[in-house]
Amino acid sequence: MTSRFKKILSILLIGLYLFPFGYLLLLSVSRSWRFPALWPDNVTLSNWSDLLAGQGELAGSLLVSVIISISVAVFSTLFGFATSKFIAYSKYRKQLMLYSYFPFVLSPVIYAACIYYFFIILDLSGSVPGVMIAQLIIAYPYAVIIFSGFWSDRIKSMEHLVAGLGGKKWDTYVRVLFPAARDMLLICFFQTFLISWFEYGLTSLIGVGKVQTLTIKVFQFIQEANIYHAALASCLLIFPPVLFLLFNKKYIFKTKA
Amino acid sequence: MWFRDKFRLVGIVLFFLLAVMPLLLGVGYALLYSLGVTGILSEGLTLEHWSEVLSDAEILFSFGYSVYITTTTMGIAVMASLFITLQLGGRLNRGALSYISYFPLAIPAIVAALFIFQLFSKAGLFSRISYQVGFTEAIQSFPGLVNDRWAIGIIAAHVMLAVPFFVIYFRNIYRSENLDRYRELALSLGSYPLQTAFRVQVPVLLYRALPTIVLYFLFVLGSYEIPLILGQESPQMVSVLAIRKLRKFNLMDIPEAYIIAILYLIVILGLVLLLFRKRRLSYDL
Repeated sequence: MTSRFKKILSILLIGLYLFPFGYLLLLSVSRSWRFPALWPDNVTLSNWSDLLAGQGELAGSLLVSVIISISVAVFSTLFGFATSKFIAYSKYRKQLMLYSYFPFVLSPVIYAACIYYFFIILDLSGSVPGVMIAQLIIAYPYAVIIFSGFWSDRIKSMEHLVAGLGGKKWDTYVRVLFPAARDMLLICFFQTFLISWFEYGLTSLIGVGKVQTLTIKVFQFIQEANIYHAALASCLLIFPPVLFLLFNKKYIFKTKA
Repeated sequence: MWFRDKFRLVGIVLFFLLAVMPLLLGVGYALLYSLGVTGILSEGLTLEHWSEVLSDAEILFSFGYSVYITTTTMGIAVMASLFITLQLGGRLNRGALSYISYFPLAIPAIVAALFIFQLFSKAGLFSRISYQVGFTEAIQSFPGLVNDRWAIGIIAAHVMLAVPFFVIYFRNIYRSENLDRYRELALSLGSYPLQTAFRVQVPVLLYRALPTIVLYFLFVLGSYEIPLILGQESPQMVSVLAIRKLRKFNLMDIPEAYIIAILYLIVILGLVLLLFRKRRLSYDL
């Protein structure tokens, strides 16, 4: 293929990748867009100004989503790190790792359907802590899988070296293991944040509509045929991860299969 | 000895509390409910619900429909990603494309569904363009591309999410496996560019990406938001059907929902076991 074809393909790909962002942004600043017009009848920033003034319902949902996602990401990352060490040094590590894959590959909504009863009897359904725990149950095994690549003979030797030089367990973690795992901790934090940030099915079932995250709001607006607010909520969902991606590209995508 | 390191002890306890216990309790509860042992209308152990489900065409069709959607999605996405990766090669690592190619990873399934609905529906952008250029004469003339029988909207939304992911993934494998050098070698030995692509590059990319392709297959198979918004009333994908039966006012449908969940779990567990049967997991110990 010629270099010209490759250039056209590159430009086409850039256009296709950026188009959803532009289109949703345009919808979010629209108030009316009747068929068969190709451009909205009424373009206004009022949807966004209402949001920034904290007047709409979306400001509250944004806050709930941020709190849930950051909590899930922090706990998944720390818990996943601890568990991955236990699994790595266990003689049953293959079986335990295989088990870690099961909750991760299941459909979150079907998993939620199976454990929903226990959330009711523990009085956790319909509450923010309940949704956090439910999301943790799917994000945490993923964190374990991410950290599985960290533990190696090299890390084990480093631990032995610290112990041999008289360092305490605490020193091993704070001065050796956490700094050595810094990149992986960041990858894990970001990916588990995204799992929680994007989650809909499990949140809707465990949250029973009372925990109004942004994804729940998008669906509600779609059901109400309020496309402009759905687009606004969608922009709130997609732009924070894009900003993360711009600044931390190298941390986001792990190539190891 | 095990408990000398408290951090590891915490790891064991957490693994039990967050991974082992919920899954066992969930599957156990679903199984007991499906056998009539527990639940609101429980009348003791019975296989009645199972025999009903296994002879229910809607449920069996739903599994087939899910496999059709997933296979079509994966086929289109993997082929398109391979084409883009092989055509653009090093260009994907340079300039604006190296950054912009990560952007679609920030789009959640529910937003992809909304976007595709806005493009493909009868009042959507494609219908408007079609009307403006004279292909269609009214809003009704535009073919139904969402909530349709062939799941075009569902497949389009999944492909939209999968292609950017696999382009990045294949690109990284392409780089780590030095495929450019293999290509040069094959060409210098007299092979045609197409032969090089199909006999050298594509096999390496697919072999290395196989576990991820299977995991992505499972992700699409169990997807919920996209078929919920872009699918039709019947048939439905497995997750949507299970949740519909769980949330219906008819309590008799709840055991069926749990049976669908169990059948789905069996399929997933089988595929995961098959995938990892001979595969060495990533520990280097």
